Order: sequence, then structure tokens, then C-alpha cells
Amino acid sequence: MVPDNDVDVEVLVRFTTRHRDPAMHVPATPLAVPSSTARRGLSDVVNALLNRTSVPTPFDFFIDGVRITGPLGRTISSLGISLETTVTLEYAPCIRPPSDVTPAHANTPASAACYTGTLLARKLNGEMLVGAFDGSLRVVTVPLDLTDAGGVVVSTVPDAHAAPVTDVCALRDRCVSSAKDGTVVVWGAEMPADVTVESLFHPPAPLCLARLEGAHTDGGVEAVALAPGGDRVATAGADGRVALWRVDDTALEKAARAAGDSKEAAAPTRKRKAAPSADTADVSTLSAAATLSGHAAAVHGLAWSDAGGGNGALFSGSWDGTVRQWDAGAGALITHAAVGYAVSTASARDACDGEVPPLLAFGGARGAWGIWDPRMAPVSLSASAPSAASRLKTTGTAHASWVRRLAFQPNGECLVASASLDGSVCIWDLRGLDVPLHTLHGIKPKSKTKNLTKDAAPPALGLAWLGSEAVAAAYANGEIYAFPVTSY
Amino acid sequence: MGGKQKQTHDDVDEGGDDGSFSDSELSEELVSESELSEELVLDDSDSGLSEEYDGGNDDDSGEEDDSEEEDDNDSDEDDFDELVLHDEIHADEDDADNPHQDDDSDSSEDDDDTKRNTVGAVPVADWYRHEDHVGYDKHGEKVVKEGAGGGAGEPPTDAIDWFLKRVEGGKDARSFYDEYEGRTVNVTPGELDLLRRLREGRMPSRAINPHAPFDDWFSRETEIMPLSAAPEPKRRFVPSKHEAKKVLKLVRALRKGTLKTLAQKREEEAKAAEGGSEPYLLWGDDGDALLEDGRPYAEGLSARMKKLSHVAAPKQRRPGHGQSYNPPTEYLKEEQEEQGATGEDDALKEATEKDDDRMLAAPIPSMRQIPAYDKLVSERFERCLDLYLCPRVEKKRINIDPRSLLPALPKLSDLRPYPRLRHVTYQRGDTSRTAKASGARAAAVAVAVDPSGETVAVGFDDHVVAIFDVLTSVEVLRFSLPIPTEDDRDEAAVRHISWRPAVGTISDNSLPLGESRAAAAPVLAVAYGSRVLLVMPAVGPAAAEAAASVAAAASNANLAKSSKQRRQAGDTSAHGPLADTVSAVWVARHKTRAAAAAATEGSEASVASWGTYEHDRAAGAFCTGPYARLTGQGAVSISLPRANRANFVPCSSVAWHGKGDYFVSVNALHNRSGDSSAVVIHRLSSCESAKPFSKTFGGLKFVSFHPSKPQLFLGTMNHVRMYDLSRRALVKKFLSGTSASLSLRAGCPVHSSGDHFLCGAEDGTVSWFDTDLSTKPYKVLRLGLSRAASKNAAGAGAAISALAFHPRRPLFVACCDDATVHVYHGMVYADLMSNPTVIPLKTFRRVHTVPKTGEGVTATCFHPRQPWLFTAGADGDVHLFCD
Repeated sequence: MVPDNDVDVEVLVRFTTRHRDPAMHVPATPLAVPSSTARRGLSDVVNALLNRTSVPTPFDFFIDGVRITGPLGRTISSLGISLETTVTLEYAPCIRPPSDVTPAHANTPASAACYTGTLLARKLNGEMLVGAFDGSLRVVTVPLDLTDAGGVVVSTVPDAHAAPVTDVCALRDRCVSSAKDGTVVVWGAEMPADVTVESLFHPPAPLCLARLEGAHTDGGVEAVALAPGGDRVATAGADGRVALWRVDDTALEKAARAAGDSKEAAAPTRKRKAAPSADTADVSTLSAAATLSGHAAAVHGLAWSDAGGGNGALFSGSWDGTVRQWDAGAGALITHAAVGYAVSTASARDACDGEVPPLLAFGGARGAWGIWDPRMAPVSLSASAPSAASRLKTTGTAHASWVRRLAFQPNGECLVASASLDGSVCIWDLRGLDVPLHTLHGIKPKSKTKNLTKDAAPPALGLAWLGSEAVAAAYANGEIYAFPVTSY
Repeated sequence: MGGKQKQTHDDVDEGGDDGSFSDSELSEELVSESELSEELVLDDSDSGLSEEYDGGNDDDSGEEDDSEEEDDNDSDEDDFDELVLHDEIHADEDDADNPHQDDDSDSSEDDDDTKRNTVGAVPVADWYRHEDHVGYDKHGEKVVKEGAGGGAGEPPTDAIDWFLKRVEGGKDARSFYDEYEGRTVNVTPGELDLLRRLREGRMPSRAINPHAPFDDWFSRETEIMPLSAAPEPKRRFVPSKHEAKKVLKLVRALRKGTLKTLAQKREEEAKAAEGGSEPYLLWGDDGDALLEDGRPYAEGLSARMKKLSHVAAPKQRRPGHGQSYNPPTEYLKEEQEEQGATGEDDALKEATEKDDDRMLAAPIPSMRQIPAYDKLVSERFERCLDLYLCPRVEKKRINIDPRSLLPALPKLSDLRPYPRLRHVTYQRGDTSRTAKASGARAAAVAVAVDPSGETVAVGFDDHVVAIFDVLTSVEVLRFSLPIPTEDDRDEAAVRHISWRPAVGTISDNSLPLGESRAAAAPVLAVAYGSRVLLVMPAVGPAAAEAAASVAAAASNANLAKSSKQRRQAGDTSAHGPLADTVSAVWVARHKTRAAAAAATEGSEASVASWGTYEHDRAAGAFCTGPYARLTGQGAVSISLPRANRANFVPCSSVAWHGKGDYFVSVNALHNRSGDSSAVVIHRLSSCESAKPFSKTFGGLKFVSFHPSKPQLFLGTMNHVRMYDLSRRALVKKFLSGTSASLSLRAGCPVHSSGDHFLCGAEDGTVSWFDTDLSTKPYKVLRLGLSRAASKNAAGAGAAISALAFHPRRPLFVACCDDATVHVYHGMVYADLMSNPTVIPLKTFRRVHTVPKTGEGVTATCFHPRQPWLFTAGADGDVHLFCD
């Protein structure tokens, strides 16, 4: 019996939270709340329980993967839950709406339209490594405390690749960049503790540690991912293969020695002309440790997180409409699921301290994106697609065009950012995936309609979390915006 | 008489000789009898007797002999009793049919009539001892003793005479005196024989031989020479048709129910004993009645029962005395009964109503006083109503659900993926600025996705070819073609673009490895003005690979020369060194070959001339965009021949062969035939061009190679021709299905199976041709019929502007001038037996509408692998539709 929504009945509610501050926890005693109470009323209740009435904090409430937007009773009854049971509500402080904060902004030359972007893992003030269509790499700072035009291009590697840079990945002192010509370059630096990012790229000369060659011959490399330990690299190519490379120090040294020997032995043949600006004849070349084949089309999404222990969880998403989890140690397929559309990006949740099961967010040739938990009943390769698709959570369509990039919040919490070809960036909460928390626009479209043809914003092609409190998006016209994502 | 008997005997003999043993058993026996003559004599009564006594062997004697013998016998008997003899002769004559009759019995029969004693069982000897008679016959006359009357045959009163007579022998030896009859009776030899045989205990008649030897005609032993050598007749082995008919009759009767088995009869009897019969649907055969499980009741009935059943009216009782107008008084209603009927007692009323014999309360004395039937009018009226409302003839009505006549279509969800939603729009970077400045955008007129599926090339009508990245929707490269100053500018727009199909290497063994790899790089052919431009937007792996190998193998003087030339030409823009080299190799190779070709061919300027494309620097940079520094600036230009210098001939279409070496260019010479240079086939690896036709038809609308065979499809206004290029012959000519001309507007590249292509007409019809099937369309789809257009009778819809097959998936698309895009499922089967399946999937409306002109989609193509549809429109955008 679902009572009429208008009838005001009392619902027994128990509040829980995952907030790290114990001061934000309320006792687990069930409370009777009128069913007509909306988010604000519930926030008042929680604030009263926390004795924060002087400085009230707005909260978001979640129940069974749905964010409460209207009266509590309506949400509960729409979920088919009886109002007579005790309902457990999870609460979290609200994310500040985008109208409250001004996005920080940086410009790169328009000719070098950003193709991709990632966070440099420095404790500096918002630095982003950006790969461009013209094959160059840039490090851009986007200071969050400054307003418009505060961004500075710190350093540039003009000829990092001879083809458009498709993906970059950074972890500790290692960066990896890939390009459409099939080359992958591992960048790095001997990093003193006090070195700044300038030392990585600008003076001294950018340190090209190694080039990874020979695995993707039939097309470009579309995505790269660094292993959680930074000692291995996974690359995904347009030929549908995923390659694993060993880039730890011993392997690099061995490769460097071999390169030196060969240089001494043979005359310089200048075999590789598509090298960076410096004389790269002595750059060591690594070959792939393993090749994982199975995808039937180009692989555009690759994610490697440290969740799940061991080698971490390596995921790939392909234009053949499947997502796969690989065993990076054994070089074998663990499980896969059919998505139903071409996947062009993937991001995996990091395990920060805690034991978090691996979780993949994938998106692509649709305005929707999805979440895949591979722990669910493993699917054999011969299984049909619909059964696999049933355990994929797919969000609503907030984007009017394809989702190009997805990024989990790095601290292992529940936020996911998505960037789309229509220029919008959405912030999602895993606990309520039906509606995005906020939609962020760096470059506002002229009209609010979803009509793509008229004056659409340039597509957002790069996406990175700057710490856990800001999201930076790189646009195809070379502009970079950073949006603070802070809670009250 | 005896002759006759013999004759029959002969007949019998002959019959026996004939072998018909069925009924000649007896005669055979007779023939074999040793006492044949005796038997015959016996058969022939007294004549036989004489024969026996004469020892006559009369087998061969004729009829006359027989008669003589008879006469002899008669004379013998005359000696004793003329009368008797006379009677016997008569008797013989009378009883010719009865040969076994004895003489004696004959005579006694004669006596019966006249002289037989009728006194009965009285002691005749005592009573009539002293009389001269022994009694009376039936006429009451005395039967006179022999000898008493003293007649001719007086009895031998003297015992001695009697004895002597008997001793003397002769006839009298076998005579005795019959006291009762009072006369002497002779015993014939036949009777004597009979008596003797009886006394001996033998068979009385000689004709019957009880101990005839048993002749075993039939035995169970298999004889070597059986009586009948006839083979076993076929009927012994064939089931009898007659019996089958009988059995069938019985089976039918059983089925029909007219014949019932014993069990059924008992069952029915048991049911009848229980009371009542099985309930059945009276009107169940009218077709609408259903059983409990939903099946029609009539389904289980026989054909005869399915007909409208005739329900006989109940038989009415014959009118009894009560119906008489003047019944006897006992049939009249009595006074108290009438009162009871009008009273409350219903039971009594019913009882009286049932009793038909008591109708009238009072008799009508005479017939003329009978009143008219009071219910006549109402009953006739109701009968008319019945006849009016109740059809007497069963109407055969077939109830067919019209939906069941339609072919079963699969669910649309089963046909996924197919383009369902518009997701991405590709726009030129300068589009919005241009639009603001001039108020009009350059229309996109051609679209093509490269074989790897990563980039899409778009040709605009303002002499721009832009290349977009499919994944990111960014314009990565733009080739700005200079607007030609001479000739008319309008004709110099980009008409068509086409990527070379993905090939590993061109099979040109003369090329070094590096060059062949370079030759495998992506090439985009642009139909531009009166020439075909081959640009190589070499970005990515193919270019890098080619560049690396080319750099390794670069020892060609042309390379150095050409790159030197290019450097000297002041090309200072930031070129990617490798890509430039690749392009330079390309250009140089083609230039040298073109020069060589020109040198050899001399003045033959009719065929297209190859050369490098010299870009007019004043018109701006040739290649711009984010990829510009990574790709080459060069291009190969093929100038197409002109029939007439005054008459500018723009190139309208370019199509590649599936192996990527040959391509064909077609100029859009409208409504003019007889020009040989309309179709030119080019070979990329050898930089040669050729005109395959000495004369072509004007108004060429589309051209396409067969994907694998050396066949060329040329579409003109009225028909599509299929040529075999190796045999240089016309193979087929495809016409429209109706008498009207094809009025071809757009065609599409031939399906990857090679057997199917589409034609779009000006009236909005799309014709699917199966080259194996017929020269008429396999299927005609009427598209482009807007609601307004479908209302008028002509029904001409908007013209088809573009068509495309998906290279791998069963999809095709048709775009109309009314800004609609129709996506179809078109499955082509490999076997020849099943026809292609065409199912409409999705229609997009108001795609690329331009407000003033109303133009819509101008070109379309599919992604080579994904179910993605690209459309280019007059508004300058390219849309991507995906699942």
C-alpha cells in the first residue's frame, strides 16, 4: 500500500554518512520525519542533530542510488519501498553550484588545440599536462585562486610527437604520452624532492626516457595508462590490441645501455625522424612485454587503478562495444561485458587507503555513460550481450553529444566528472546516477537548446581532476577551464 | 433315340478330349467303363435289352440300325401281348425323355386307367374263386380273369400246360399268374437282372459303379508335368480391388457413423439406458461457436457436417378426430373442463392443451360454417419475417486477418544497431564567422569517411575540402583550393570526393618497398573543376610508417630535386619534415611519370594529363589546420580532357576500384552525347589515363566500379549500363520497372557483394537493382512523399539526393531533397535462393534545412565499421547519427 503523496504521513528515517569528519556523523537512531519533507527540511534535521544550526550546511540525500530531489515520500514510493519500514538515508554535504564560483581559465595557442589533458601529480597549484593536435605537449598551471586569464603555460615540448597526441598519463615522476602515429614516449626526470614542474620539461631539456614501439603497427595509439606502481605502462591502439610495457628503472637502464651500444656500433642511420626536438638517436627503445588481444575494433578507453590489490585492475573499452578487465600479471582476459555502443573512454576508481572494489566508468558514442562492476556474475565470452548489459548501470542522458572523457575523483570518493563533445562537463555522484549534480560550462553555448548545429561550444576533449576539489577541462579551441568542485 | 444318346456321348467324348474337366467327370467315367455298351443299353430301356441279348456291338451302327432293332424287338413281343406291346410303344414315344422307365411299369400304368383291380386288400382268391372275374376297375367294370372270358390270351387253366410252357422256356419261363389282377405277368430280363442284383446285395442299377477306381487327378505332390502349366496368375499376388472396395465401404460407413461396431452399439445402448444422449451444439456448425479451449467447434466436424445443418422440423401428429370440424362428442370439451381450463389450475390447463384431440368446444354442424383461421395473418407475417431475416443459402465467407497477409517483420530492436539519434555535428571552424559576415554558409556537397574510420573528409562548395576527426569532431585539416580565374567560377566547385579504399600495397613490383608503402597511404580524390586532385592527408601511422621506410630507401634523385625545388619555392611554413618528404616522394614520382608519359605520347592531348598541383600562393595557404604542420602540402593534379575549350566541363564524380589502383572520373556534361572524354579511367601506380569509351552518353549521373570484378556501372538519366572492361563490352542495361524513364538523380556505389546497387530518381523513388536477377528493379521504394505530395494524384515526391550502402552491415540510406533521411535495413544473402530483405528502420526529418532555399541533405556515407551515418547538408554541417 503506497499512500497518496499528498497525505502527510511520518516516515522512520535513519541517517548515515561516509563523511570523513566524525563531527559530521549523527546518531543512528531512527527518526520520524513527515513524508512531505524535501531536501531542505532533511538538511535542517541533520543540522539540528549536528548542532550546526548557526551555520547550516546544505546536504544531499541518497536512497538506493537515487538522489532525493522532491518530497521524501514521493521518492520513496517511486522506489517501491514501504513507508512503514525504517528508511536509511545517506547524506553528504552539497557541492557548491557552479554559479557560486568562477572557473579559472588558461589559454594555449589556438593552433595547438588541446587533444587531451591530465593532471601532473605534483602538489602544486593545479598543473595540467596537455597534449595537442600538433603533437606538442604543454604544462599549464591553472591557479584556482585567480580569476579569468590567470593560467600560465609553464613549459612546452613542441615536437613531442610527429602526430596528434591522443592521450597522456602521469603518475609520480613518470609521464606517458601517445600519438596517432603509434608512438608512445615515456617522460621522466630525476626528481629531487624540491624540484618544480619546470625542471621536468623546461630547463633542463625534457627528459625522454624511452620510446615504446612495435606493438601498434596498424594504427595509432589511442590511450595509455600507467600502472599503480608506475613501473608498467598499458597502451591501447586503433588495431584493437592492448600492449603492456615494463618501464621500471632496470628495464630503462638496460634499454639505455643497449641503445648506447648500438649507437657506438653502427653509424647513425637516422632511422626515426619523428623524434622530439633534441637529438633522439640515443633514446632507448622498449618493446612490449605482452600483447592482449581480444577487442574487435579500436580501443579508445584504458584505465588502470590500484583497486582490487595485486596488479590493480586494468580495464579497456573499445569501439566494438565491449569493456574488458585484464589480468595484467598473466596477460589474460578476466571478464568482459557488452555495452551496446562504441566505448571511447574509460576511467577506473582509485583505491585510496581503503579496500575499494574496482569500478569502471565508461562512455562513448552516446550521451550516456555507464558504470561496470566486474565482480558481478562473470560473463563468459560466448554469453549474449543483453544479459551482460543488465548489470551495467547506465545513466540518463545529460549530454547532448558523445562523452569524450570520464574521470573519477582521485580520493576514491563518489564523484565522477564527464566531458562531452557538446562542451559541457558534468559532475555526478555515484550514489545517485540518474541526474548529474551540476553541469559546468567553460564556454557557454549561445542558446540553451540542445540543437547542436547552431553555435555549439567547442568540444571538451581533456579532463582532469586537480586534486580532489577541482576539475579542469581542455577544450578543442585551446582553452582550459578549471572548475572548483567543493562541498559546503 | 439311341443315336441321339450316342451323339451326346460323342460330344462328351470330344469335350473330354478338349480337356475341359470341370463338368465332364461323369461322362469320362462312362467312357472308361468297360461295360459301356451294356450301360448304354440299360439306359435305352428295352432296345438295350435286345442289344444285350444279341450281343450287339452297335457302337458304329447308325440310326437306321437302331430302328430296325426296335422293330425286331417289337415283333418279338407281339407274339405274346400285342396290346401291351402297343401300349409300350406308345409309352416309349411318350416317355422318350425318361429312358429309365420300365416296360412293366408302363403297362401297369396303362392298366391303371382302365383295367386295374380296385377291390382292395380282400382275399381275392377266396372271394372270386368261382367268379370269372377278380374284381372291378375304377369304372366299375369287371376285371375278367384270363381264361374266363376266353379271349385271345386265355390263362392256362391246365396246370400241366402251364408247367410245360414254363419249362419250354421263352417268355413264358419268366411269367407268373397274378391272382389279384387275374392275368399273367411276364418278367422282363431287365427286371430279372434288377431282382438278381438286389438279391445279391449289389447296386440295383448297373449305371452306378460304387467301386470305380479312384483316379487321383489332384495330388499334393509337385508334378513335373502338372495338369496345367499355366503360371501362377498375377491376381494371386495382388490385393483384391474388389475386397478393398468392400473394406473401404465399411470403413467409410464406420467413420460416418452409419455402421457401428459392436462396442459402439453397446455403448449407445448403455447410454440410452442411462437416459438422455450426449449434449451437442445445435448451431455449432455456423462457424462462430468455440469449444472450451478456444478452437472453433466446426474444426473437428466432417466436411458434410460443416455445412449448415438442416434441422428438421418436428413431425406433427396427424390430425385426429379432435381436429375435425365436427368431432364426435367424446372429443368435445366438456363444460367442467372448460371451466377448469379458465380457472386457476395450471396443471389441468396444460394437460388439456396437450390433448390435441380435444380442440373444439362445440361441433360445427356443416363445413360451410367453419370460421376463418383467426391467426392466419399474424402467422404469415411472422413467416415472412423469418424468411426475410434468415438466409436460406449458406454464404461462404472467408475471415482473414489483413495483418496476417503482411510479411512478418522482425522487431526493430532485433535489427539494432542502426543510426537512431543525431549525436555529433562537424562544423568548420570558420563557419560561424562566415555566417555572420555573409549571412550564408558554404554548403557541404560531399562527404567521405576514410577507410580506417578515423577521419571524415567533407567537400564544400566554396573550394574547401575539410577533414574532421571523427572522435573529437575537430577540423584537423583544411585544403583551400584556389578559385580559378579563367572559365566560369561556378563550375569549379568541389563536386565529389572519394577516399582510396584501404589496401595493403599496390601490386606494383617495380616499386621499391618504401614507395609501395607510401603508395598505400591514404589518398583522397577530389573532383574539382575540370580536374581530379589527389591529396594525401597523411596523418598518423600510415604516413609515419611510409615516411620511415621512404627515408630509409631514399636514394632517388627526384626526391632530392623535388624537395629542393619545394624549399626553393619559399615554402617556409613549418612543415613536418617527414610528412613533407613523403609527399615530396609522391609528387615527384608522379611528376616524373607524368612527364615520361607526356613525352612518349607526344601530341595526344586528348587523355588526361598528370602533374603536380602548383598552388597559387596568393590565394592563401593550401593546407591549414592543426594537422597542417604534420602533413604534406603537395597534391597531384590530373587535368581532364576538354572537348571544347569554350565549353567548360567540370568533373562531377570520382570512384575508386576496390583494389585502390584504378579510379574513374566522370564529367557532368548535361544532355550531350557523343563525347568520348566523359569517362576517363586512371591508373594510380603508373600515372596513366585512358578513355574506355569512344562514345558515351550525356548526362552521366553516377559511376561506380564493381568492388572486385573489372566491371563499370554508368548511370545516365534513363538507364544504368554495366560494362565489362576486360572484354570491352556492354553486359547489361538496367531500366526502370515501369514504362517511364528512370529519371536518375543519384546512384550509390555498388554494394560490397557486387550484385546490388541503388538508383534514386527525381520523383522520389529508390530502385533496388539486383544484377543477377533482372534488368528491372528488384524493389522500388517510394520515398520523399511528404504528406502534401502524397495527397495529389501524381504523387511525385522530393528527389533523391544521395544514397549509400553500409560497407559491412545490412544498412542503406536514402536522402531526399525535402531534408529527410531514410535509413533502411537491407540484408543481402550470399545464397542465390533468398531475396534481399528491405525493412525501413528510421526516418530523420528536417536534417540540414536551410531556411530560404529549403535544401537539405546533399551527400551521405556510412562509417566503414560502425553503424554510424554521416550526412552533409546545404547548411554546411556534417551530422553523425549513431545508435
